[in-house]
Amino acid sequence: MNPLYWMLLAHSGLKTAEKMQVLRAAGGNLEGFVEGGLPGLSGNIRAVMEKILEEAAATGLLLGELKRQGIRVIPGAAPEYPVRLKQTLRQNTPLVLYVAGEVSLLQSKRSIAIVGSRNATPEALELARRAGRYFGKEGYAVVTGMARGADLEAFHGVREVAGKAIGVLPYGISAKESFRLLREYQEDVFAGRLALLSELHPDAPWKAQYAMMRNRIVVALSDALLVAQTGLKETVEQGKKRMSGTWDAVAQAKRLGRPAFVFDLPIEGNQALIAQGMAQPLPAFPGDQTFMQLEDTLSPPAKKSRETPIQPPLLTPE
Amino acid sequence: MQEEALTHLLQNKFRLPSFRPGQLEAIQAALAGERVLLVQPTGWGKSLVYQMIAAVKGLTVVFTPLRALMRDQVKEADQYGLRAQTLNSDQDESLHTAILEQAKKGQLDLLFISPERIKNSLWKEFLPELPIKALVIDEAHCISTWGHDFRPDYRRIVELVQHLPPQTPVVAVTATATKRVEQDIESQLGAKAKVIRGNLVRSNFWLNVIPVSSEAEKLAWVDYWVSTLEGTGIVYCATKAMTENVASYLGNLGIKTTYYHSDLSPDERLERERGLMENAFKVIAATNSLGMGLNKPDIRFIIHTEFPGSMLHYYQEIGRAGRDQQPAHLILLYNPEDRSIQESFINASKPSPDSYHQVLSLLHKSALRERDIMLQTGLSQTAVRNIIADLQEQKLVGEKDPQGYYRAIAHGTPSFDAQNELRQHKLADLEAMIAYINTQTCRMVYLCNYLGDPETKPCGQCDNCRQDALPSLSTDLVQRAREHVTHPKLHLKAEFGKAPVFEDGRALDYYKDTRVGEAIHASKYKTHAPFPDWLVQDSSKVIRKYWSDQGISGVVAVPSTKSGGLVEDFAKRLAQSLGIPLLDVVCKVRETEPQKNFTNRAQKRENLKDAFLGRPGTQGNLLVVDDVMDSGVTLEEVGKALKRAGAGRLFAFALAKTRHSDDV
Repeated sequence: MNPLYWMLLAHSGLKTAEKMQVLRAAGGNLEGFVEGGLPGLSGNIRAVMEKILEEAAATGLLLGELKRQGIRVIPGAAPEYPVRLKQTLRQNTPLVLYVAGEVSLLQSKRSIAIVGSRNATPEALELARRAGRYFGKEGYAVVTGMARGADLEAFHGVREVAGKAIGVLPYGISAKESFRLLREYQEDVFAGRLALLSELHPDAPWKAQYAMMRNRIVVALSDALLVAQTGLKETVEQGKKRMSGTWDAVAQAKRLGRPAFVFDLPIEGNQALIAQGMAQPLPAFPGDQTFMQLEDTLSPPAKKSRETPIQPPLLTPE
Repeated sequence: MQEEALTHLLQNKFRLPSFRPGQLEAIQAALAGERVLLVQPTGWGKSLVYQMIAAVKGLTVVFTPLRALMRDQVKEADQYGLRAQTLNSDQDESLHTAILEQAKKGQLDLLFISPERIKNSLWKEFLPELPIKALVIDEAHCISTWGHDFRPDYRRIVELVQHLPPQTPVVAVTATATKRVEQDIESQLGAKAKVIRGNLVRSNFWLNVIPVSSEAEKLAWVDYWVSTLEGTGIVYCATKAMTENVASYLGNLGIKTTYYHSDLSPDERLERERGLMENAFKVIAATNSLGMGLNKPDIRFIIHTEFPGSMLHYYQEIGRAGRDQQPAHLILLYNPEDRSIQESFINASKPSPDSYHQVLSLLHKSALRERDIMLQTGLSQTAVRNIIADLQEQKLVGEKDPQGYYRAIAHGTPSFDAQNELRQHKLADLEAMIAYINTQTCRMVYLCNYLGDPETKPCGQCDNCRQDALPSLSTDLVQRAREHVTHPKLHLKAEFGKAPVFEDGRALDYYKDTRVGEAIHASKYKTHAPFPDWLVQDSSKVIRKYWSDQGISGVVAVPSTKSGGLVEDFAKRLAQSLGIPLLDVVCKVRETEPQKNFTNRAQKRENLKDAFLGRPGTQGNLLVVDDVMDSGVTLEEVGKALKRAGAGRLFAFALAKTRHSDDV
């Protein structure tokens, strides 16, 4: 399967529904569809597709470059593409994934997302690290956004026990921040314990909007979401409203049917999540008890949902 | 596209009456979406091929290492109303951005890029948005012959080409390709490339091979030919040291000359290239780093002081002569012993399996820069580069990231097949080169046949066709050269406050296979007795000869690690003989390892960094003395310490100098 056409479509600028229209017309075989001259496609979408294909050389060059960096490009129809992303996100599932590290981590049987504020209290950070350590040791793949603060703290916990982790990045896989992570965690990436993942154009720089966009992937890859610490849903900074990324992740979890948990700490944001019924409180006991309690509530339904994977028709393997 | 339409375009836009053989075929094939390999001699008119493609298709990206040519190409394209620009490392970021913006908006027809630019982050940023319609790879043989040693950037182009949509025209161009190189390029371009070959005969070439038996004879012949032949030329040497040696020899004879190799800064190189273009030099002594893209039509002669590693290299290097079709003389000086130089190049480019494993296991653990790898493994820069390039080829190591780090990207054990095969090929290439030297048949026919051109008509101009006797070399010329080679110059590059640390440097002789070298070796490693007195007397003569008017007021011995006072004792006797005092103004402030324990320059520098301290208040012009100079790092570090302490002008003297650093 040639990932080139998938990349072209993913970054075409077409709307999600239009991309789906193209995939539908292609009947699952994008390569054959393109080489056959886009049969059945008409109007504006056809014009856009023709233009993109004419200028495909640049993306072809980019694809070669990614391969040389050891980065995998996984189209929606590839067997390595995580089924649970398609199942959960349907139309909104990324058309391509860019992955550095062990791709099979994305298909982990059990996984949990651990996220939270950049500027968390020492207590919340400590809990995030302990959570990472616990779930890492128990064989879960721990999914984080690799952001400073709670995310990285959880990841470092996983590292301490040589567990498995997935980082969903808010920038392209070839952005300089990505390379910084790859350098810093080369040993983990190489040993197959860490996969860094992005759906964005490989060269995309960090943007607040991307940070929000990735939440759906973080949640969809996980059995449950655990929040270490959050601020309030909305804050006003220099006269501008700012949405909390953590709240957005929790909202996504609700929408996508994943249980959400938050440490029951005397922190305004955490208490607000609990008060609004967005996340279940998790008492901060010493030792592993906190996490065992979470794990107990989790296992049965999470297992069940995997038994009958439904392949959305549009992204079936070619 | 129809022949008629293209001819119309040729006559109207390019104002040319008709195509040259092969041009139309190439253009039509490329426009039809075929991959084309053009093997055509310089001057055939390859630029018309990509200008036409650009005129028909639009943005055509041309990868070319020839920076000087790029500028000419842009001018030429301008004349035909094509919008052309270049991207190269001389430009600043804002200019780059402006050019890439133009390309993005579809306002460019031709974009010339040097291959190393592919790594540039700006290029990468723009790449996805460039409406690239066709791609041209100039000097495509770099994919094959040089790719492994010096042009990893070309490998990158290949990777990129392989991912182009099949309908994008790709044209590879080269002047030289044996059948093997042709096949190699073809396979790299992916699938069936159309090969269009031209005739390789250069009818204005006068090929000659002259056997010599010593270094002095070489210089004497260079002296003879440079003085005899008219016009300007190039002396190609196998080593950087030899280029400096030739230039200093000719310079002393009053000939306008300079040297050129990869240690010079880009500015210095450009300045020297320009000097050659403008005939400011009669001759330039250079390694093969000079010449790619040198667009001087009237180079009248090319002399090789050592034969190159292959016929391909030879044809490429002499190909720079006589582009104006006027007679050009090509002289190859052949000393059978030079074979060892080429063999050492081949061996140096073949690192051991151990070093592969060493590099790979380091990169498993953490991402490292080239320099870190050198420091942690002790491998030379060339070795590290070759290993990395090979491991990248094997998909075990990733491309250098934007901050210059390499990482391992896959598990697996390195294979040495490619390396062994390459080595066999290089040895075979070397044998073929020597066979050319020894052939009794027409040299031009031999050369062309080897390169895949079935020419059979003897040229009538080479030494084998003419059969007339060589001019004989006068003993005066040889004697003069012999004097020059007896006191080799020390090439010390270090700077202090933007000025060289040393004004000048000399050795009494080379270390290996010389009387001087044997005497040193005996004292150091066998008898442990002081250096014999004749060494002091001869040294004293050399120093008086070169520097008697330099106002040297003291002698300083390089503090030694192990030789137990041999150098100091020698310096003391030398000072006595010169009638100036031995000064105790530099000392070692920490223990160091013997320099010969380290294999690369970075480590040698690290070993001696801040190891020496000059006595504050040191002054006057000083002579710094050591026994054997290898990398020169020790002398340079001592020199810097003296400069920091306040010393005046410094002169370096070593009893002996190594030719290659593995001599010691």
